[in-house]
Amino acid sequence: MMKAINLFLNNALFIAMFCSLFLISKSTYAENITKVRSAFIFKISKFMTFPPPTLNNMKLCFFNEKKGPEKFLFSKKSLKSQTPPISIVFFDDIEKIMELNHSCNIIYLNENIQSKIDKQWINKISSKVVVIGETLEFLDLGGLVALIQKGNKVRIFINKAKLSQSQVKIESRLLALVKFHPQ
Amino acid sequence: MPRYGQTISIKKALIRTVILITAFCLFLSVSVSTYLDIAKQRTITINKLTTYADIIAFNAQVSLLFDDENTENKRLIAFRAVKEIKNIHIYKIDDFTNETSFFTSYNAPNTPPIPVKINKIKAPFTPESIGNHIDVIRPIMFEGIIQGYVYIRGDLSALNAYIKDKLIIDISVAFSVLIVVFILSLRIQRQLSNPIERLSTLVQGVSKNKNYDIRAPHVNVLELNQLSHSLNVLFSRTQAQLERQKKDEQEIRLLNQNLEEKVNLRTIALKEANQELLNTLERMHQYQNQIVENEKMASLGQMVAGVAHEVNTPIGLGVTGSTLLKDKLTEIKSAFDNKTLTSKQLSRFIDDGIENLELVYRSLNRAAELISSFKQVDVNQDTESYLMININDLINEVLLSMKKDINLNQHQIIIECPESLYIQSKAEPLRQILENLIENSLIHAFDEITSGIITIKVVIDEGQCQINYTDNGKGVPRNIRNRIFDPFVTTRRGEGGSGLGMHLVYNLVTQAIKGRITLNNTSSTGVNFIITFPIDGRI
Repeated sequence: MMKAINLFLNNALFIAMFCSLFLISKSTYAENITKVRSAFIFKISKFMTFPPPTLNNMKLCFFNEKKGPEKFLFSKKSLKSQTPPISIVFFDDIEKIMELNHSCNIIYLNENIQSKIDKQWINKISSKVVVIGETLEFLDLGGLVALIQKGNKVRIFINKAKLSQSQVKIESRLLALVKFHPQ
Repeated sequence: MPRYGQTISIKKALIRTVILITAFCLFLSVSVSTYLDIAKQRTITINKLTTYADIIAFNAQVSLLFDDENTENKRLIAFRAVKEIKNIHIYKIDDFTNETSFFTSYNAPNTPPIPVKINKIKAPFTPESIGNHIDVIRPIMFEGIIQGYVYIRGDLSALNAYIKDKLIIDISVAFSVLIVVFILSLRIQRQLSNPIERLSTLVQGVSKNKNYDIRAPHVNVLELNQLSHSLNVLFSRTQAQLERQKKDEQEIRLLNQNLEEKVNLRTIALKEANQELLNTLERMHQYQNQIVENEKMASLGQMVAGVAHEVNTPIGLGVTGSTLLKDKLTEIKSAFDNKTLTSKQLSRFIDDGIENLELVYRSLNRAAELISSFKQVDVNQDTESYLMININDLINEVLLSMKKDINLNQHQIIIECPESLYIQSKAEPLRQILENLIENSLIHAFDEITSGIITIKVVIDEGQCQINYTDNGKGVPRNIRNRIFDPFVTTRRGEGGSGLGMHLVYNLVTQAIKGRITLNNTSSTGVNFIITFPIDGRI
């Protein structure tokens, strides 16, 4: 019995160390993916042409969690997309759709926010605004762009039907890279 | 003697020159054109690869931004159509770490992959050719920021093959041109050298056979035609010249014959004249010898007459005195025999006898002195040897010995002689010479003056001692100047002068000390004798 207890104690320490390492590495890995997503959001904006009236700033809108890509983009104050500077706008309430349509060029919805919206909410978003999500389900709901994790990389998926309805022009060079959903 | 360089035929010179010039021009032309063409082709290839690299870089911007190597890889496969591209590498700069890492690559079919070239990436991205390939690196820029790099390895084998083909073609063309030029130059050479050879053979024939009737034929080359024309003119003029020369030679031969005859005649006449001259010369020699003999006899007669004249007076007086004494003796003997001799008569006889005997004695003594002075004239009896003499001391000794005679009047003797002047000569003859000269000045030159000046100047000149003797007396009478050194020449005949003093001086100078003496006739007052003799005793 004592032997079993000793063995457990010894292994428990090892298991604890393994778990902590796993958790740390997983946390680091998740942070890297978030960084990549934030970079993708920024880079995608460079290949998009928004319809007039164009705003003085390229406005990227996030819902106020400050845990996702917005965290990294917010820390970069001097970012520019093509010529206009990028400003990060935070919203608390997803129901302020009118305000979102007027204030945002790109709206980013992480998985948590995605779970709170439905197809009707997305349809209310203006065709002049690009909505970016993180899952294929988001595209199924009517989202335009999704940054989906594939292994250790992030891939861009675009809803082809939604793209044809959108007033935002995406450069063919970018389109050459993306995957369309549904195929 | 002029020096000639290596001779060369026109044929060789022409062909060599044409071929060399053509070869040089071809070489230059082929080299320059090939070099320029190679450089151009190389630039085109490099530009093409650089353009491809720029296109790839532009297309790769999005792939790098969104980290999509698969899409980029598919895109690179499209460059399979470009044969020059062997390998393409795309390198990415990480957004967060800024480190350069391999992104994707493309290898042409049948081309092995190459190692990562990150270490070669550095500005200014100049294409670099290594062996059979060229490396081109271009940055992938997006909005002014380098996102990554494109590396292309281009294949230069096509360019090298092109260069090889071009060289072969150029060399073949150049060689063909050289052959054509050689054939053409051969033809031109024949056109030029054949007429020259014909002309040369013609000239050699003319030179050998001396046949100037031959004429050079017409030639198609203008310059050579002028040459053959000039040769023809030369031949005709030479022919005319030779004919004239032949005529002139005949004339000269005739003239020579005449000249030889004249020369023979003149030679005979000259020989005769020469013989006559020789005969005359022989007669002249005979006359000369006769004259010398006559002169000797005259001189001897003159000398004998002089001796006779000088000796005659004392001997005559002696004869007169002895005759008188004899007459007186005859008278006194007759008186003694007759016993009529008185004491008075005897006393007068004794007085007369003493007087006559004194006369006879003086006369004989004078005759003896004269004969003694005649003997002194023969200086050949002198046997004194040569000694080192201080000439200044010698002059002073002479003056000391004659001090009594000099001091009779207020005569002044000036000596200009270096005190340390030594010469090798005979002292006694020199002393006699000086004594005779001074004595002559005292007796003859200063007989009417009481304060005469005698200057004795001694100098050495070119191994000769020169004594310049001058006095300011009345000088030598003009009528005896030329005979001053002859014996028995005196202005005091019958006054004690024998006329042998200067003759003795002359003999001492010329025979005893081997010198010479001259009387300077240009002197207006007094005398000036110049005595020159060797200082080392040799002539």
